[in-house]
Amino acid sequence: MSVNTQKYFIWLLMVHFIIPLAYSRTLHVGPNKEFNQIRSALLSAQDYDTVFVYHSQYKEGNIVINKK
Amino acid sequence: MIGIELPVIDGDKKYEVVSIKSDSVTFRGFQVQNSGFASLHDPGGIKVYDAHHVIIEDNVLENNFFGIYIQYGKHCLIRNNRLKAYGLEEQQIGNGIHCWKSDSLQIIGNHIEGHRDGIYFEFVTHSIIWRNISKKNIRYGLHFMFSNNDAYINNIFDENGAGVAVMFTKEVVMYSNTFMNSTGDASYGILLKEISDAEIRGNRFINNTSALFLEGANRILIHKNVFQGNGYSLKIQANCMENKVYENNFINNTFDVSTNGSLVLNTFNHNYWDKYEGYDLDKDGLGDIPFHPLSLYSVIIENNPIAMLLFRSFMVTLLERTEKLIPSITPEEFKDNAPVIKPYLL
Repeated sequence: MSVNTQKYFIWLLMVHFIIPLAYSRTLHVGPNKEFNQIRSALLSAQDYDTVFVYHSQYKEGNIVINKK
Repeated sequence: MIGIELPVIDGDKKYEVVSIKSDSVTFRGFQVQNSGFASLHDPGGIKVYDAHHVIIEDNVLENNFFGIYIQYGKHCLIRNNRLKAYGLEEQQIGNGIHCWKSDSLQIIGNHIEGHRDGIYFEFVTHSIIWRNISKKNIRYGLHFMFSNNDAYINNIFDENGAGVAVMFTKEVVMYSNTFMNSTGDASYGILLKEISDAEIRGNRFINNTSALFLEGANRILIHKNVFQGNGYSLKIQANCMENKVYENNFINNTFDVSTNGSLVLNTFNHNYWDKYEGYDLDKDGLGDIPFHPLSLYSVIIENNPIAMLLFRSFMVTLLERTEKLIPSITPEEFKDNAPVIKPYLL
């Protein structure tokens, strides 16, 4: 494997995995947190974000997760 | 999405609670409860739509119509979830883990109770079901339909309508599972229907009405299993062929083998039969005379189930003894030519 090919693979790895992770955020849902509904946190979330949901009871109808 | 201290998501008995419609989602640490109940829309506690690399783990699913529902999933991991439903009839409840048209799934370490089928596979390929406990489900602990090249290993199926049903499937391996307490009129440890090229190895069948029922099953290897305390160990219908039954222990079963025809297209070899009364003069560990595992009375009951009323009567014992000495009704070729004298350590 040539040096150029190796560089290309490293670049590819960064673009696909490391850069998105570096920009990922953590959102918190629960009583006295930044979100009090799971739905609103999911609306605000982007791909690769992590949503932490704290202990409580959530009755929000159908919750759809459509972000990676 | 990560739950801290088991947050509860409640579907209020109206909605599908959580729908996952994206790839690479992790859903961990929630209690998901009270999904809607409807047989048209199949609402689930957690439903995955056309997604890959989804992880669903460490959740509690309580009182949902379907527990976890995967459709068109690939490379999904369903691990360490506890699913409980309270269905009383098949039509009123869905399956615990329901997988449809999916590939490369891993179903590991889940505990499923009270659903229609504990785990249901339809058109699911290259998947593994490992270390799950499927208990007190109304129909089957595990149900395969048209699902090829799958494996289920080290699972426990207890008190289900029937342990496992494998139908219209090929190349499935079933290793080291325990099938127990499936009792009732049409209850089986495993029901095999129209399947081929499978391997059943190292399993324990304990206290089932019928441990293993084969219908239209071909080229199945059945070996190193323990059949203990069942009504019937093996029910092999006449349309089964080229199945090999070898190196199993048959202990304390009412009937070891039953069939509904006179064709002998399957082989029995080197099994331990506790009913064997032969001898081993050359001390090679193998009986010197063959064992006929098919009892006359099991043939009679196959045709006239009501005759079971006379089981263990003097007349039946006399008939069985006579048949053993001069076989006339049971096929002569239905035999284990070299039964082992001592049980295997399995």
